[in-house]
Amino acid sequence: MDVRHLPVNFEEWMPIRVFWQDHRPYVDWCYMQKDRFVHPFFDMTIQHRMHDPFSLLFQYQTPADELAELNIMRPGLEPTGFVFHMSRCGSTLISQMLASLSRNIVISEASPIDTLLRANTVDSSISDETRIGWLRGIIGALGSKRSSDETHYFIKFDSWHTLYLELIHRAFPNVPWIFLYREPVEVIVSHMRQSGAQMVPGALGHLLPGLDVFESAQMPREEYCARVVEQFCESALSQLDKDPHNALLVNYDQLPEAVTSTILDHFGAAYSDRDIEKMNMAAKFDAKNPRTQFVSDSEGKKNEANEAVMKAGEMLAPVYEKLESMRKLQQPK
Amino acid sequence: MQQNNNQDNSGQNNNGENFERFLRCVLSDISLQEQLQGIDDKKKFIAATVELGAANGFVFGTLEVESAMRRNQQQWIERWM
Repeated sequence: MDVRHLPVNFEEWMPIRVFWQDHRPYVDWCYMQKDRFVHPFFDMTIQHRMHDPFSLLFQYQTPADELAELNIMRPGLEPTGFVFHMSRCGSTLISQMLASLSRNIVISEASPIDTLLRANTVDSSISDETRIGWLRGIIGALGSKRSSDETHYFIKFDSWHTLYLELIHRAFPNVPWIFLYREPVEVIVSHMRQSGAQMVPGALGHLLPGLDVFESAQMPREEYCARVVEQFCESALSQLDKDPHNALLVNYDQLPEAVTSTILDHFGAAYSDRDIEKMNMAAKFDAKNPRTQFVSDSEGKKNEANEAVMKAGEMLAPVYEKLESMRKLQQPK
Repeated sequence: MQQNNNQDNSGQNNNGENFERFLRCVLSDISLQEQLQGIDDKKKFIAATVELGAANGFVFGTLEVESAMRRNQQQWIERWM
């Protein structure tokens, strides 16, 4: 593929995809104009943008190694806060509430971040330092201001990125972060209804240390799900231990009220009453399908849990209790 | 402005080369980009691209533009693979 370098004036172009060529990662840049990332997930906004013929046809490619240099040419906002989560626990509600304000840049589960963060699964010789450099580069590029209104920048990571919390912290040691979790049975039921990529053995590499893909695939789905979620929770607890000042644990039950109070306080982000009202309005809608009103499904999920799910939920009880006790120790902050 | 030296040649291969050169030309020239940005209708956009190419000495057809758009769409769809 021919590599087309960015022009000097590239304010309205954003990185949308990372691909590998000749053992090196390259970044695709798409003309985004002033489009904000308002959809529940990053890729949905890009998919929407791909309906614009110009954005589809004309794209630049740059080596990921050049991201740092590009960020000097086009400095973006420093991240205000990071959102980590165990999956299926309300993290999209948080990102949608934040994205309801035009002053917030909200990047939700962006595939370019994922590709660079997990680059060592493609080439194990890639060092942590290299990945940290790329991570700073891609996060810097995604935080580029395309409107003078933008003052805050939030990133919601994929659930499995919790396993990389230590590396992310090394890249951004001063950025406050939260870990969101939920009653385990409700999370497992959600994955049994429709599994995420992280619950397909081998789809994202080895998420369970000591088990190969075959062993993972032989395991009951409920148990595999519980073990993966347990890894995410343990990783968050481990990083909390190392970095208590920047960390905040949040239970799904605290949503949505915690977003405009505890979480924004933790991120050091202040908003007007009108902004808070707007975020609360966004919370009334289903985060993953914002055209419909939000209806709590906690009871339905509990009722749906069969014996295998309950057993898997019990496996997660100790780590859930630990998260709960640690969260209670953090209050009041 | 970069000019196409093969404009007298015909055939699909030359059209493909001309189109690739036009792509590079547009990506390095913001004034050319501005002439194509904001055309929402796909058919009108493709026609405008072919016309702009010809006006700048790059002869190619709608086929090259459509193929490139399809290729980019495919690459986006296959980003997880």
